[in-house]
Formats: sequence, structure tokens, C-alpha cells
Amino acid sequence: MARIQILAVLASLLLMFLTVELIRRKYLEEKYALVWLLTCIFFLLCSINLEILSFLARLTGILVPANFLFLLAFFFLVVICLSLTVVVSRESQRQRRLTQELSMLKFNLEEIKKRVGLGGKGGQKGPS
Amino acid sequence: MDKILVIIPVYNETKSIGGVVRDIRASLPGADVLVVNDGSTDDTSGEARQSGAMVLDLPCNMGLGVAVQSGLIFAQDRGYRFVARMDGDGQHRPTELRALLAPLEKGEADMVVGSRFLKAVSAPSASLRAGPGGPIKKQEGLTASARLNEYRPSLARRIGIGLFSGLLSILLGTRVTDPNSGLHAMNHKSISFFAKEYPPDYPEVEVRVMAHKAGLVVREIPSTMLHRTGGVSSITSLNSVYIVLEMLTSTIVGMFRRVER
Repeated sequence: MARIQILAVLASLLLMFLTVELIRRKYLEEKYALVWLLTCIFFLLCSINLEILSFLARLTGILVPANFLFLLAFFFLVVICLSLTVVVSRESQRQRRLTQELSMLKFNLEEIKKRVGLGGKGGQKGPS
Repeated sequence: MDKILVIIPVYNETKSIGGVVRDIRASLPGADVLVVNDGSTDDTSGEARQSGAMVLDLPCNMGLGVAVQSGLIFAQDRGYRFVARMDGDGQHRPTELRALLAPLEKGEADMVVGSRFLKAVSAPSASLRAGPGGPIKKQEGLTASARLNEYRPSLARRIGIGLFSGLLSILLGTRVTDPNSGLHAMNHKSISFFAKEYPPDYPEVEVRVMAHKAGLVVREIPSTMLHRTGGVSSITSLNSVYIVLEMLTSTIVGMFRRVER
């Protein structure tokens, strides 16, 4: 086994260990973790059997297998980034709703407190 | 009297908010005033309470649209019939609220927008058909001091506003003179529509698109804007290009979006 191949296998294993560890500690949710696990498996297969990459490169008509890898990695990262922005947008929408609900609850609470004579922040006027 | 709610979204307007609330209460005594405090870091909330407004405190700064929407949800929850939205920096004149609400009360429109660029032809409820060009006639009843303080947008802003008013006029098929105006009034139909969904950042332009897609009848009436009495604008020269591009995207994408009526 070539030195670079050993290095690649080790790196893949490290990435996989990291992913599993993150899931185990609940830093990473399973639904987001699956895609990373699959990536690790792909990396591992590619580094154990070098023929896979050359085969895929020939299949797509790319001369150098490394270029195929770069293309794949680039495409993969773009997709990941896009899906992350989708997740962020969805989360901020939820956050907005929660903020609005919270402010409304606080308002109602102050109002009720005032009505039953518990006091509250001064000047709060109920609707006429 | 019909239940009217005046919504004022604010962020760090300690200096001006008290005066604005008091002015509104003086010129529209029957209305309730709701200040939506968008996570101010100063005492805007306390200042507003002191002047007799109801205050909705958002725990962090969420953006203008989110603040306005909070007010609309509040109005819907409590069954307000009409809602007016004003700025908390003293740039809008509370005396114009009556004219703003009039078309709603008469059932002539679902939403009314105060336009800085529409000429006062005869009645204050001059319609959209006011002709283009010509010097902007000062509105009747503007006091001398108010006239002195009248706000004139900078050249860059006028270009931006012109761009969007042209674009919207083409897209919506009606003349839109002031797409960036934040002086709005809505009836129940508009309130329940916009309480469900309201654009979070720089909402004014997109609101016009959404109203059009939802089939709401929108009318512009002439209004004057004064210089701000305190605080700073949220739009700086640095981020203005990005904002314009963002608004452009939301306008064009908005035309293709499906709107739940």
C-alpha cells in the first residue's frame, strides 16, 4: 500500500470517527449526520480501492482522476451550503414567530397582573 | 367609535417616541397606540409607557417587518377594526392619520399608503390619478414650522425610490408613487392577510407586491414627511446597495410567488 493511500484511509477513518462522536454527543442531529456518514464511507472506499476514482473519471470523460474528485467535492460543498442556508432561513422564521408569541404573552401577563393588583411596569394601559 | 390601533415600530428612539405617542393621542383621541419595541438597547420602552402607549417588547432586534407584524397579530387578536402604522422618529405627522383612515372607513380601500410624492390636488383623499410632473404643491394646513422641517430625500434615495416606483407601477399595473412609504393604514381584510405573513426586512416594497397579489385595494394619498427629531436611520450608505438589491429580488420573486388569500 502506498504511503499516500495509508494517509487517505487514516484521514477517512478520522473523519468518520469525528462524525460518529458528534452524533453520540448530540452535537449533530441524525438527519444532518447521515449525509456526512455517507461521505465518509465514499472517501474510505475511494482510498482503499484507487480504481474506483479512475473508473468514475473515465465514465465522466475527465482525464485526471484527481480533477474528478475536485469537481465532486466542489459540487458537494455547494449543495451542503445551500441546504444550510435553507435550514438557517427556516430557523429564523421559527425564531420570529416565537419572539412575537413571547412578546404577546408578556403583554397579556402584565395586563393580568395589573388587573388583579399585582402591579407591573407602570403606564401599561389596557385596550379601551 | 371603531376600534383603531396605531402601530409604531421602534428601535432606540428614546428622544422622539414620547412626543410621537402624545401627538397621536392628541390628534386621534379614540385610538389605542401600540409601540412595538424591537429590542431597543435604551429606554424606549419605558419612555413609551410613560406617554401612555401600550408596549409590546420584542426580546431581541428582529427587524422592522417582524415588529410591524407583531402589531398586526396583536390587532387581530384583540379585534381592532383598523390599523395605522407610523414611524417612531417623528417623521410622519399624526394629523394625517384621519385622512389616512378615511378611505378605509368609507369602504373605498383595503389599504391606504401616505405618499410623499403625490400632489394634494383638492381633497386630501386625492386618488392615484394625480398627474405626473410639475412642482409638488405644499399641502394645505401645514404649519410654518412644519414647512421648514419638511423632509426632502437625498438624490441617492430619490433615485432608489424612482426605480422602485417605476418598477412597481409596471408590475402592478397601477401608478405607485411612493413604494417606500412607511405610513400605512389597513382594514380588517388587510390585517388578517398581513398578520399571517409579512416581509421581515425592508418590507414596504414587498408589501405592495403582496397586497396586489392578494387582490387588496390599495390607495395612495398625499402626505408630508418631516425631518426626524432624533435617532438615526436604519439605512446607511454602506448597506444601501445591498438593500436595494435585496428589495429588487424580493419584488421580482414576489411577483411569482403564490399568495394564500
